[in-house]
Order: sequence, then C-alpha cells, then structure tokens
Amino acid sequence: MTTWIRKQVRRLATLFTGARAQREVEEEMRLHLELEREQLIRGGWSPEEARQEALRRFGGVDRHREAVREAQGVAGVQNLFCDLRYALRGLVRNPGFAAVALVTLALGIGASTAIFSVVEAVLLRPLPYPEPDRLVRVHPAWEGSPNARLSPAEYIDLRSLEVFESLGAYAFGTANVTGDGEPERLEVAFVSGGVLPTLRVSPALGRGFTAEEEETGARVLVLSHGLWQRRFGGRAGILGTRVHLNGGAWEVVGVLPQGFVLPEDLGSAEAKDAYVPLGISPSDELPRGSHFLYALARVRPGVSLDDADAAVARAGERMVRDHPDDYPADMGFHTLAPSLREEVLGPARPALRLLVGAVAFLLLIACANVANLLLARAEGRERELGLRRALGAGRRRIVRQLLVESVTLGLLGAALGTAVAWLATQGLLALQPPEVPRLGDVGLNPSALAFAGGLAFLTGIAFGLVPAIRASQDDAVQGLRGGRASGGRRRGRLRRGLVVTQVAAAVVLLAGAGLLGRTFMQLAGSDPGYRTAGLLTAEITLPSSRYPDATDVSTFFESLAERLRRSPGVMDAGAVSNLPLASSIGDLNFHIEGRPVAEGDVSPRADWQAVTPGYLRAMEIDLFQGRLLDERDRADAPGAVLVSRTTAERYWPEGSAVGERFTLGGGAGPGLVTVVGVVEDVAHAELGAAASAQMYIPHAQFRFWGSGAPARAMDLVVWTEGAPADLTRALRAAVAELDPALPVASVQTMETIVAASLAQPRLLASLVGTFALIALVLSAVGVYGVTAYVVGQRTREFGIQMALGAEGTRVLRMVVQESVWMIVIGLVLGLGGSLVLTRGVRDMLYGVVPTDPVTLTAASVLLGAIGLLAAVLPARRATRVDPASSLRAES
Amino acid sequence: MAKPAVDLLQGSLDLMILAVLEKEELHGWGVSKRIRELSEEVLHVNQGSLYPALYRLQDQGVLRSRWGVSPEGRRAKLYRLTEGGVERLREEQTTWRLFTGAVDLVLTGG
Repeated sequence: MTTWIRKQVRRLATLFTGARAQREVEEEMRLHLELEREQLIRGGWSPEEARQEALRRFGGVDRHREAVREAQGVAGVQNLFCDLRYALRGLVRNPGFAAVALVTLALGIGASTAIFSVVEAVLLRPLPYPEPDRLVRVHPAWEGSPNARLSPAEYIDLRSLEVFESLGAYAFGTANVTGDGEPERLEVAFVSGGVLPTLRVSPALGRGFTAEEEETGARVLVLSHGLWQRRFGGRAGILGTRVHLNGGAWEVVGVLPQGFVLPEDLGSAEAKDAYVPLGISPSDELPRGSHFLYALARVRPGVSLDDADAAVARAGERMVRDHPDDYPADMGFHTLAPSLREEVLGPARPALRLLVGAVAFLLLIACANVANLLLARAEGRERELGLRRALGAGRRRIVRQLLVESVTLGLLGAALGTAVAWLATQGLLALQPPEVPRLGDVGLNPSALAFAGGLAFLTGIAFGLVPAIRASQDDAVQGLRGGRASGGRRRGRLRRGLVVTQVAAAVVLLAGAGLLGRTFMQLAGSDPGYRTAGLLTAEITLPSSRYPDATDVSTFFESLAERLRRSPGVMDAGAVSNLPLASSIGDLNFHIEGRPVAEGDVSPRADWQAVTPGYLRAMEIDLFQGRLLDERDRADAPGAVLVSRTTAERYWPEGSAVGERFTLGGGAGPGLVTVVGVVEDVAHAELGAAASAQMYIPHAQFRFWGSGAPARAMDLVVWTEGAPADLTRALRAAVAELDPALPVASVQTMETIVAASLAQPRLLASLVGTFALIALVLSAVGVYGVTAYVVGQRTREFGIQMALGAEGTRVLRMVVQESVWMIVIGLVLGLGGSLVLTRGVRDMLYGVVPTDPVTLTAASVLLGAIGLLAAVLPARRATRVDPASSLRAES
Repeated sequence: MAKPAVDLLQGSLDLMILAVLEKEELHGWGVSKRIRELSEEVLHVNQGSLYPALYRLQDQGVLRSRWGVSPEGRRAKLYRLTEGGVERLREEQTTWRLFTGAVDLVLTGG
C-alpha cells in the first residue's frame, strides 16, 4: 500500500521535476552510449563506426525516451500537458470555431452559474441565526386564513409549552423620533423578552429587556446598529441616554449587532430601527380575538420539529375546547409550528425551481450546439487524426486527447461565463426584486466559482465524449487518404438528432417565456379597481402625545386634505389606513342586525379600511349602489359604512345591501353602522388576486376595538393632474404648516408602488424571456450548421443532379426538406414537452392557462420560421453550385 | 564480432537485473555488461528494453537509484536492490526454477 502511495506521489512529483527527470534520462543514455562506444573502440572499431554501432545497438533513441516515460508512469501527466497545449493551439488556429463555441458556452454556463448563485444565497445557505434548523414559526390558521397571527392570549398559552426552549412574539409599528436631528419616522418592532434568546442574539452593546420591563411595558428600547450609526453617530455613550419617541422619553438600554434582522426582514434591505418591549403579561383580560402577533420558538434539544408541531396543535385544540365562544367550530381554528426556514424560503421555491429548469434547458441547447460544432470540426481533422493513429496512438489516447480539448473548451467557456454570471447577478441586484429573501446576499463567491468549474468539466465531457469516440473510431487509413469515412452518415444522424433536441428545448423555453410574459402583461393591464396614475402617497403617524383626542386626529387629516386641495394641480386628497399594494390589510368581524350567528358558525368578516372621503374620490373607486362616504359622516353622525361588491353578494345575496345594518365586532367604533353604498372590489394584497370581502369605515367615526383609539397611522393619497413626483415638496410643506415636527415617510407615487408589486412577474418573464431568446438564436445556429454540413457533404451529388438538368429549386427543396423534418420533429417533441412541463408553473400564471394555444402556436411559428430561414440560407448556396467544379471537387 | 544475441523475455530480464544488482551497485551499462559477462556472451540485453525495465522496477519500489561515481570514474546513476527487491528476487528465483524444471520435464518426456 505504501509503495502504491509512494508511486503516486512520485508521479505527481514529476509534474514539477519533469524537466529535471528528462535531463537525467538524457544523461544516463549518453553515458551508456559513450561506454558502449569506448568498449567497441577497444575492441577494434573505428571511432565513427563505433559511434554508429553503439547507437544501432541501443535501438532507437526516441522510442527509448517514450518507453522510459511510459515505464515511469509519467506518461499520463505529461501527456496531459501536451494535450492541453495542443488544444489551446488548436483553438487559436480555428478562431471562428473557438469564438462561436466559447460564446455559446459562456452564455450557457454563465446563465447557469448566475441562477446557481441566486439559489445558493436564497435556498441553500442557512438562516443567519445559530442552529437555525431548530427554529419554528408558531402561528394559527383558520378558514380563509391559512397564515394568520397570534392573539395575546394565545401567545401566553403557547409560551409555556414544554417542547420549546424559548418562544418570542413581536409586532410591528411605527413611531416618530424627535430631538437629535430631523423628525424621522422609525420602523419599530415590539418584541417580547423571548425573541432575542430564541434567535440566540445578544446585543452588541448593553442588554435586552428584563422580564419586569417586558411585563410592565417599560419605556426602554434597544437600537438597531443602523439607527445607532445613522442618527446617533455611533457614539459610545448611547446607553442610558433618552430618546424622544412619539413625544415620550425612552431610555436606550442596548444596541443590536450589525446585520441582525428579524426573519420578516430577511428579504428587505433594512432591519427595523428600534425594538421596544411588547408589554404583554399574563392576565385574564388579554384579548383573544385580535390576531396581530408574529411568534418564533426554538425547539428544545432532543425534541423533533414534528413533536413540537404536534404539541402546538394539541395546545390549539385545548384553546378551542376552553374558549368555545372565541373559536366557533366553523372557524376551523388550529395552531401549527412549521420550520422557520420553510416559512421564509418556501414562497421563493416555485420561482427558483422555474428558473433552474429554464436555465437547464438553455445549458442543454448550448451543449448540443458545441457538440455539433465539435462533430463538424472532427470532419476536418480526419487526416490529422488518421496520421496520429498510423503513428501508433491508441484509441484511448485519441479519445483522451479530444476530451482534453473539449474540457479545455469547457473551462475557457466557464471562465468567460463567470464574467457573464457576474454581470447577470449585478443586474439582478440592481432590479432589487422584493419578497425574494436574502437576494441581497447574492454574489460570485467561491461556491459559485466551484460550480462553474464543475459545470465546465461536466459539459466538456458531455459534449465532447461522443464526438471523441466517433472520431477515434474512424479508419485511420481512410482518414489519411482524406476520404469521407463511412462514419459520416452515422454522424449526420447524430447531428440531426442534436438539432431536434435543441429545437424541442427551445420550444419549451419559448412557450414558458410566452406564458410568463402574458402573465405579466395581464397583471399589468388588470384593473385593480382604483386609479394608479397621477397619485402621490405618503405615510403619516400622529403621536398620541400631541393628538390625544379623536377630534384632533380627524381634524388634522381634514385640514391637511383641505390644504392639499388648494395646491395647484391637485384634484383631491384623502387618507386610508392601509394603502393597497403597499401594506397589508386585516379583517374584522361583524354581526348583522336581525341575523344572529348560529352556534358553531363563523360570523361575517370583511377586510376593513378607515378612510377620509377624499380617498375614495382620489382613488376613483367606482360606486355601484347608493352613495360614497362624504363629509356628512362625521363623528357625531350615525355610523355609516361602505361595503364592496363581494361583501354585498356574500352576505346580502338577495336585493341591495344599501340600508342594511350591522355592528362591528370587538366593540370597534362606531359600533352599529348602516350600509350607505356598495363600491367595486379593489385589488389589495396584489394585482390579480381574487377579490376579498372589503368594507370602508369613515375615519372620523372609526375607533379601534379594545382601546377605542382613532386611527393615527394613515396613508395619504393625493390626486394631481401633473406629475405626482413634482408634488413632493408641496406635500411636505403642507404637513409642515400644520405640524413642523411631524415626519412624512415613504413619499412615493402610486405608479412606483404598482411597479414594485409587479416586480416578481416582470423579473421572471424577463429572465425566462432572455433564456428563450438565446435559445432561439442557438437553435437557429444549430439548424444552419447542420444544413450547411449536409450541403457540403452532398455538393458532388447536387453538382451531378444539376448537370443532368435538375433545376436549382428542386435541389433547394431536397436540402430544405431534410432540415424541415428536423424542425418539425423538434417542434412536435417540444410542444409535447411544453404541454407536460408548463403545468408546473400553473400557480405563477395569471390570465393564461398553461396550455394556452395562442402562446404555444406563437412559439412554434416563431421557431419554425427562424428555423426555416436558417435552413434556407445554406441551401441556397447549394443551388449556386457550379456543377462542373463540384464534380471536380476533391473526394 | 559479437556472438548471436538471444532476445530475452521481459520477465527473465527483470530477474537477471535483480540478480546482478544483488551483488553490487551498478549503472545501466554496467548491468548490461555484467549480464553479458556472466552469461559468457550468450545473452545480450536488448538495450532498448534495459532502461524501461530499470525504471519500471524502480517505480515498483524494487530498485533504488542514486547519482554517484561509476567504476570508470564518470558521474552515473547507480542502481541497487531495496529490501523489497531482495524478497522479490527470491520469489522470482523460485518461480524460475519451478518453471524451467517443468519445461525440462516436458522436454525429456517425463
């Protein structure tokens, strides 16, 4: 065993000592010849004859050298280098071939590497918390809400479960910070004491919250690293100082480490700015029906995630049993604890799977092209290879040499491809598609480079193996004579087969791109139910310290709208609690007058919005029946509400809903409301989503359940005739006139928001479309190449035919016919493949079915037309063949 | 001037190289000369096979080489047996005797 190891080490060592070993062999040989010569001279030979006799007896210096090298086992390694140099020289001597092959490979390998980087960053890398696979998200679900949030009472119930090492809950909000600079609106997370320990994160400075602070909701806060640097200059003495949030003084007790984010923020560019205690402590009066908490837990060591999930489910069942009023049977309430990783990354999987599939097809097409190129090149090298065979190179040697060539091609292609991949990832980052978690971490790291390298090897062998084997099979003598080996016909079949594969794969890609493109266009063209152009939006939160009463709040928004309407160009202005597409909406239950909810039934619910009258007008939400909310619906007026069509049809299917009355659930103000009108549904969560039941409550009348507080955090909407972006300064000025210390956040046009919501469909359509376009070009090149090859092969035959009187067009038709067959078979196979494969993307489509005939037909026609063109061009050359010269052409 | 050279099988060449080098450290030419001498000029080593054999045996760990001074006073690569080489030599000698003994039996008709 050790001798074997020593042997291999010796072999490897010759990589470095090769030259010296060569010299030693030479020297040894020289000495031998000298000694032999001297002995001969002593035996009576003349010096010259002695020298020749010595050489003769030695028997072939070159063969000796070769044999010695073989015996040393060095042959393999040195041959490798030899082949490598030879391969590179071959590429330099054939720049056309090299260029086409390298560009093809660069595109294929580059695109694959780029997609791999994305998949690696998003799916493969572990979450940025210690032992992330032990983390689970704890949440409830019920009829109509598969992914809901916990209520405070539920959180307390689950917190004490044995299966968890720790559990933390949090909610998000905003707060205005003043002092130490401009007023700024901060994104705030309200966290329970268990959150940081669950994520095993310790503050970089200071500490987290104590249990007492958490229970009492003390005014302490922990800053994010970013906020600490940005607003407080990263100064060391920050701990213990006071920060003014929403008018109150809060003490800074800690600063979190750089780069820390809550799981919800893994996709976005920034973390929350500050973290304050959630302030929920066990008590009997905790609300059970307001579901707004996110929760995470770390499973105890030794407990499986399935066990934890089961325990959480059992706890949910207990809740339903113990509080039947809060969990009617029809609701189907249950609790679950899926793995956090799955929750965060799961949504990205379908899109990534699609991209991986698409790029795999592209790579297949690229490899088929290069294989065809190699096969074509092998034709031209028959003589060269025949010579090598005649000189004694074995088949394996030839195959190895050709494989070295193709792998070299692969590696060079991969090197170029890395540049392509880098460009592609930069472009991807610039697009900043939202909702793809951790996309910001994408980059060309070592694993991407390793992937590119590995792919280079694999593709090099894949497209090089068959051509290499074919080339080595050729009869050496035939090759030397330069004749067309009989393998030519076999090779023709292989090449045609490759083109058929290319065409089929290209059809699938085109079909996919077409479907995604239509999806995007359908989404972009879909009517969301409101105006999208000419709107400027902003987020404003009124601090309760300076706006203690509900009248202060509604007066502010009314005055602001008034001021804005007076600005030049402004048609209307209003406010809404949650701007469609920009923030998520919640639902509220209600009890219809005269329609008590039966035992075990779910009470009616609808997504609610608090709106000022100007909002509905600014957004141009269509009225269907009755009237819109207007200035009549003040705080002291009877409770009014607008419902959407879906709500009306669902709960008042017969007759009009106008005039019907119901009471808002949970004690939300204004309590008993009368439906004054029915409006059209709007798309809220995303464009193209199915309509949900919605209702609009007048802002002046609305009060939160439990606290009875008015809606202080509102999204402002301003409708202007001119360019909305130009209104920004006027908007800020109007706010400043009313309250100079009030920050205005997230000023953006509605168009920007709509574009952002379309970002993912647009991205998918663009990427797959790009792949499809490249595939189209590569397939056309493939068809062209094979047709040209056929033309070249049969030049003589055509010459004969035309000399015998056949017309040019007939010859043309013959040639094109063969290529057309290739294209047609490829199209048929591709269509079949599309019908099967596009089903996989059904969930990503909107407005088209996976088997959409228009798209499939268009893809086939496009590819067919381009393929036909690619076949006709070289075929026309065939018709211009001069019969006499083709007959004379070398055999 | 040279006696007819008998072409040797590769296996027996290895055996003879090992036998020669058991006694002394020699360079390639010296091995060839030694074999000629010991065989009383019957066996002339095909020199094209000699060095490949030497390198092969060295690769197998049976011989070791070093650069030194030859009996003629020149710088030369000198070969000698390793311990493994000695073992190998014994094995090959046993095999050879068995083989030739068997052939003898056949030739003399049993």
